[in-house]
Amino acid sequence: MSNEIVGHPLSRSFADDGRTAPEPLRRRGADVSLIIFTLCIQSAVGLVWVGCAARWIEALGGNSLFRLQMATALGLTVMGLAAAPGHLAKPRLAVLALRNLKRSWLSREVGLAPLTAAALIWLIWRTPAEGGGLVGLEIGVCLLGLALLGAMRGVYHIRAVPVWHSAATGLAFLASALMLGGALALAAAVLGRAFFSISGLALTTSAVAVVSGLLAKTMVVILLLKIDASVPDYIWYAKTAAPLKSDRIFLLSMGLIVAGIVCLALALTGPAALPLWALGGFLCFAAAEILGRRHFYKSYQRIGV
Amino acid sequence: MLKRPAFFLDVQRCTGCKTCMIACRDKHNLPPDVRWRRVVEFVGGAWKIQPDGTYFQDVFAYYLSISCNHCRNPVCVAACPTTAMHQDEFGIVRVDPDKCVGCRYCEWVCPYSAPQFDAVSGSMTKCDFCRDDLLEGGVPACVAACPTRALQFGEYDQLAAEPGIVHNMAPLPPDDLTEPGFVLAAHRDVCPAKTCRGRIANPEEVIDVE
Repeated sequence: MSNEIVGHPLSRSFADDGRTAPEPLRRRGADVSLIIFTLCIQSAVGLVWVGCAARWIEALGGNSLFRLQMATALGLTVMGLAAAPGHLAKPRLAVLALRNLKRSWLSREVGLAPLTAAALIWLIWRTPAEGGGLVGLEIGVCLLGLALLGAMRGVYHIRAVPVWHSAATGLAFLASALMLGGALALAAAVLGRAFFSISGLALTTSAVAVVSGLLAKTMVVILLLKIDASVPDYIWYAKTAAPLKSDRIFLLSMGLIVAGIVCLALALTGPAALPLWALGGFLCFAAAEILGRRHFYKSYQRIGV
Repeated sequence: MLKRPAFFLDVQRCTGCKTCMIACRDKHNLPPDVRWRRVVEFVGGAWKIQPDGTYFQDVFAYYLSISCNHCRNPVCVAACPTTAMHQDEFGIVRVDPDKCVGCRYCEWVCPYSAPQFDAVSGSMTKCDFCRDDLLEGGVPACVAACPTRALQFGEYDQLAAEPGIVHNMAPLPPDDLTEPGFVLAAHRDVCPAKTCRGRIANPEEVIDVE
């Protein structure tokens, strides 16, 4: 039993002097650039996976929809790449970040993103407008996307940052890819209905991806709650930055995800005039992700000094 | 020149005067928000009541003067995407400002806050062990300035072989993380990492804050 005096004037220790620990400095705008990059890349990778999966299930059908999805994925990848140098102090030297592919996950991430974009350009170019396709190339692009997500996980899986150094980080990226990619694939399919025929399988595959992503996100929340409990043992100067401590942000994110699910359900089950609901569903998910990511970066606290 | 130069800190002797910080800043002409060396004040304990109604206290405080530890396994070097962060032939970890793009990833991965961003040059900067002085047979500025001789330097293997050396001490991270070239003689109230209830009392002085 602790015999520490509570409320007694003598109990005021150095450790309880009431000061709030300051947050580590990061340049303004740096997080925004990284949020745009990770969000775009994860959405693009998820969209590639869902688009390819739907196509393989359909025995290489639905070329028009597939090309639309891959073009969207390419646009997102390019947008992410354009945003990424925003956090560099010397963006004109960004190409130097490819010099340590052998050891640095960041270098690998920087290398894999444009490679994925190039592979997507090739895939869009080589996929015929009607029927058939290049399964090998499609598998290659899917694997490149997986490698890119793996590299991204490696970048944040830092031993010195215990909140990030857990299975939750990689799982969160995978969940985001499935959720956002699924929602985008669904939006593309619902929007594409107006211009070309869309099979039910394409919609079902997208919906399955969204549900898988949401389940994975639930797992992430459970893992983060466990980390919340363990973080204070490691951190000496700030014990308030565990990932889920901010209930308001957490509740707002949950609300946006629920709104996104409702939008997607309406887009799937409602009359054909609801394509905007699908897009709205994706935007709700994206907004929830942006909130979550802002908190993710704020949760950065190192072991040590 | 030493094969693997390392800093040595006798924590019992360090009074937290911060002369080492000032000497480092002065020698390298560092801007105010760049701190290659920092002095951490680690405190803990409280007044407690005993069964007989009397009070006792286990309050403690000690100081740690920290800079780059020029680790055997420098995570900053592995993480740096441009190879700007590198280790020279003596084991001194240095930054090549011409290669550094200012991504600040090394700042994330180093558990000692050693790499420090210089907003003016747009590059990371860090302690280079006063390499220029070492090559001429001199002493690092922080070591030369320490009034109690608590901070010293020498060959890592020799320093680590001295009696009374500790490798894990709060608030430093576990040493297996980077195998730091930093040798400590323990304070009488030393808290092993991860088991100590204490806190850094001067975060404003050691953490880059907004």
